[in-house]
Amino acid sequence: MKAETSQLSPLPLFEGLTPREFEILRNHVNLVTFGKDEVLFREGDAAASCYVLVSGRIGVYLGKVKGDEEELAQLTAGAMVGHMALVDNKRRSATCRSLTADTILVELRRDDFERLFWAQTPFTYKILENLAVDLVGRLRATNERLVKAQQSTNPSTPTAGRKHAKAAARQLLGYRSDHNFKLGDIDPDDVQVVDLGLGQRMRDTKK
Amino acid sequence: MAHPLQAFFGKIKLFSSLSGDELNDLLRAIRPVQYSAGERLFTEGDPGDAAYVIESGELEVFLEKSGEIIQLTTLGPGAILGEIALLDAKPRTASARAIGDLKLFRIDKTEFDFLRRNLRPSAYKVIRGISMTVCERLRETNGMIRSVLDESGESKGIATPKELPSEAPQGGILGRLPFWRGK
Repeated sequence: MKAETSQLSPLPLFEGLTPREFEILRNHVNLVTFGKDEVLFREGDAAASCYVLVSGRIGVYLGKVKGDEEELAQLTAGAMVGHMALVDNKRRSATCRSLTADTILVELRRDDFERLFWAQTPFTYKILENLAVDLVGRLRATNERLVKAQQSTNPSTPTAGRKHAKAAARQLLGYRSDHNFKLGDIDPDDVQVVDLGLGQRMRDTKK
Repeated sequence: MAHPLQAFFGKIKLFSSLSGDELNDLLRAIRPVQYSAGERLFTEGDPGDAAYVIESGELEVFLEKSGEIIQLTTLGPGAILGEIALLDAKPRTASARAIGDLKLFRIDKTEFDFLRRNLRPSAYKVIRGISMTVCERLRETNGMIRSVLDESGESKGIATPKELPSEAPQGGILGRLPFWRGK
């Protein structure tokens, strides 16, 4: 299914592309749909593409088996998953599942992105720019979070370290919580840090 | 058309895919610099305004906490330092100083950003390479976090001071997380 420019243009991964570039991009991405509880990919799978959410809701988990997994986040329109696949050739860091009946995503395959990049297609550079800024933002935020975790951990409160590690895992993979995210043992302080990380990234890409 | 420095830069992974012309392009952002033993390149908290490639000599990357120097790593010829600064303009996360006489190539961020704004392939090949490094670091850090979360019903914190390895573990921005001995 071919994506419309109107579906692609609000997505942060494609920020900065001109209308003409969107017309070309449409030929290099697929629109894919998933039903409720369908798995997009599992942790450890080979990674061949990046997905950007157009509509619906997806869940991100550590662990491969339903029931034996740790929820990191629920994502809504504009969020991207699996985008490290555009840059390296490693395995999926998390499991991703559709939570709604008609979840629609844009799929950009790694091999297509590579081909466009080595052909020096300018809009590929713009996509890479958005991707690079996002990745560095995550690394910095995670770095800070882990330093904080190390500072706050002592043998008598191991749960503090675990809580920070879980928040760092979320941050690492770039997932903020939305208003429906069940907080569990994450406190508002963690959520705020994740929000700040995401907010900073979006401000930076607006130049 | 081969550039005289292509032999040197061609051996470094980050620049190995650049053609002679593209390296020429990038060189407008590059200048040779020298430091003598003990001289600082930058201090933690300084603006990230350049990346460095070591031509000869060694440097150390370190943190200073209450007067104590905690060395994170040392780097030698061919190594790259501070490349993350080329992607964003955040303050330095650690300090760096020369161990002996040190010769480097300095990649200026402002000049690099000029190439980037003009969508030059030379800049974007480098950005792609740095992104690959960032992904590697994210994965290493992920592995570390996973080992904390993977408990069999029992909570474990991140390594407490007395469990710290003698060398800082992999991960984080620097490729080394800034854990340190003692409190």
